[in-house]
Amino acid sequence: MSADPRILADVLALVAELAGDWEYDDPITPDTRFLADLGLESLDLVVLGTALQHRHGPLPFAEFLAELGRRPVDTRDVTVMELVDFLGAHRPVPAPGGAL
Amino acid sequence: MPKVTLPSGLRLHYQRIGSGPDVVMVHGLTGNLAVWHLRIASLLIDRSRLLTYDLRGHGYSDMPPSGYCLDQMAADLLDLLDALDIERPYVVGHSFGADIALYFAHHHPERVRAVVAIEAVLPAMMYLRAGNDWQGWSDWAAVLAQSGHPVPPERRTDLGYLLRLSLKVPKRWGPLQGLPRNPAPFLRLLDETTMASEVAQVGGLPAEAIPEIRSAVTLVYCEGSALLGTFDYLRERLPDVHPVLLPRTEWGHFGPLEQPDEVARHILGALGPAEPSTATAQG
Repeated sequence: MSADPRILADVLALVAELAGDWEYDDPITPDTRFLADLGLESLDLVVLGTALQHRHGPLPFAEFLAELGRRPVDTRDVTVMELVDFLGAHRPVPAPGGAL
Repeated sequence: MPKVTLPSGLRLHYQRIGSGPDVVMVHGLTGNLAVWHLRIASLLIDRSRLLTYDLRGHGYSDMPPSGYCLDQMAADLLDLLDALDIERPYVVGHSFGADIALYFAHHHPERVRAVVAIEAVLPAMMYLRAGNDWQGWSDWAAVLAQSGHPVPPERRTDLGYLLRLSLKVPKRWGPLQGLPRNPAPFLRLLDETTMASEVAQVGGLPAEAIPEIRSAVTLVYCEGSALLGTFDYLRERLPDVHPVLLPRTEWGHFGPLEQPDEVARHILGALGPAEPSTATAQG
């Protein structure tokens, strides 16, 4: 899937910013996994979701988390790129000339 | 992530989202602000500006060695509202958070528009839970046994033991449901602070003071809850009360997680009809 490069750049920047709070020092890439690599808890995920909604407007992030919770325990995870795809599919249409 | 430093020096982590009248949401012991964001927040943000925060010792807030009694928790809430210039919000709380909401309404009635108290526990009602035959002990032991952690008979009313054993039960709700808990933060709270001894202190809200709570209170419990004795006591004595009994669920006590849509519906009911969109719409 060809992700919007502006969304990808924005998500990478946001996750890198939050990674300081999560005490994660390695580079953030599109393949970085939120659970296996970053070790996020539910609290971290909702903080991420709120930050995304401040930047992009209302998103069905609760549904995104619920869908994640339904994935098999053994393989459950989500990558930066999957989040970018979610944003591309669900974020409100930006105003003409508006920022991300 | 946003944090505010209170006059006491305590740093609290908080989140704000939505627009409309201010609603502050207070989680319970061992929880954090995520409990509100997994579902309920998305149902409220069109009608209210939510403030959620991590209590001291929880989530990303500071964990000082002491100050975990309900009077102090209510003082933290006052300081938080002052720091964020929130004058008179609706206050929604779950479990210990509902206790904080009621203490806050009692101590600072001028700062509360209304309260939604979900499964309040209240130290003043401890006598209802003092006996070995309290339903809550049996319910808790049953949940632990179902999870492969049977409780020895001599431990069935040992709160500290039950809390520690509960940390071995996988997460039950949210995106990480079924995965193991990280016990370290709560063990630190149990082992390195006075939390366990302070949370049961009655302090400034003894039973005889409950009729002094003048705020409107939507009092929410679950059918079959082990706390229905407290529900009956409060509904008879709170002067402005709207009692709600939610449908029975597996665990009962965890309404914001077990039946968030129902809980959100009653919070919206407490807010009343939608207000004209003159409120400040800030992040």
